[in-house]
Amino acid sequence: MPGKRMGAWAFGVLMLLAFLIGPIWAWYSYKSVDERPDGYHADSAWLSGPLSSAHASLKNDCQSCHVEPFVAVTDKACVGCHTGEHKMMSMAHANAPTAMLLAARHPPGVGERILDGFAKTFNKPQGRCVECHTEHEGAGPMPATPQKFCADCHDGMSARHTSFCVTGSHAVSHWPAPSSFGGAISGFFATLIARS
Amino acid sequence: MMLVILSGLYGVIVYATLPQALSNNREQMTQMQMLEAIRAFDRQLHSAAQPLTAADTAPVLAALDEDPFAGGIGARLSGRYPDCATAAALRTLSLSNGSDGGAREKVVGLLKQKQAALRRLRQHLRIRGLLEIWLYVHVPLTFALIAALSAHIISVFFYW
Repeated sequence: MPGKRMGAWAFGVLMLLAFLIGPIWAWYSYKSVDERPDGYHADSAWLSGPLSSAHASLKNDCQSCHVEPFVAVTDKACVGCHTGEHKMMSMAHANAPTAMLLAARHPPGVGERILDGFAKTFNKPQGRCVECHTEHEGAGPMPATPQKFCADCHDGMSARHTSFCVTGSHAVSHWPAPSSFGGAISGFFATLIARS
Repeated sequence: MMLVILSGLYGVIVYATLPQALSNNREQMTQMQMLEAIRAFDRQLHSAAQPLTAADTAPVLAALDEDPFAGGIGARLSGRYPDCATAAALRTLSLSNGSDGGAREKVVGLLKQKQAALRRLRQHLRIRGLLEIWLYVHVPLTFALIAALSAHIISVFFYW
């Protein structure tokens, strides 16, 4: 019967071919190709889950999002397609830049600070689109972004907004259009802030 | 990974339980001494079978020709040797009445002793086999696991 050493070499080489060399070769071959031909591509061995139904057409084009190896998926890759909606996207996030979105979250606990440390070391910037709009989570609709209720993000504000945030006048100044809808919302926010 | 763990569990269990059985089976003999005993019975059988008829010596000669280490892996690990020539010779001679009764009785007695010695050796080989077989699964799969782990670590950072 085959010896242990031969078995060890055979299996080791097989694993490396199927799960390292094959996928890297597939990546290299299709690096500058817009759409890959049908059939099996070795880097599907690296799939952690199928793409959501909205992105299903990108199945054969890993490089549309994973542009550079060893570089985390950038916002530039998302905005490359989601162009005309950029203004809509900003409004969905209250026209806030990334830094403000990050600051709006609750203060990180110990575990979260450790994870942030790792992310910084391995060059994985915070506040990218994909952090909330996660992919490869199943072949249905994209899962809802976590923290979709206002107060889930805008949390712990009584500790952070100490001196200036109690009346409706402050809330009004944030909103672009002082319509009756804006007024109603700002009034609601004021109550929320005052109560937290 | 699960295969590595399961085969390792088997290894731990047999390492904890089988050495006692191995020691009990030995009755203070080494493997070489067990083999020597079988060879000694073979020599005695060779001379004791001289007076028998041709029909009776044939199975005895077949038993003498048999290699005690023969038999595939199934026989080695189960301890069951259905094609054992010594057992076949014992069966044939017990039923035969061709040769001289006394000579046949002596040969039958020697065959029984050889069978007991063979049984001890085969049990010894069986336990040693059970103690070693898991490594043929565990070691190659562990190397495969290490290779897969390295590929996983690299791939996670590759397609961040």
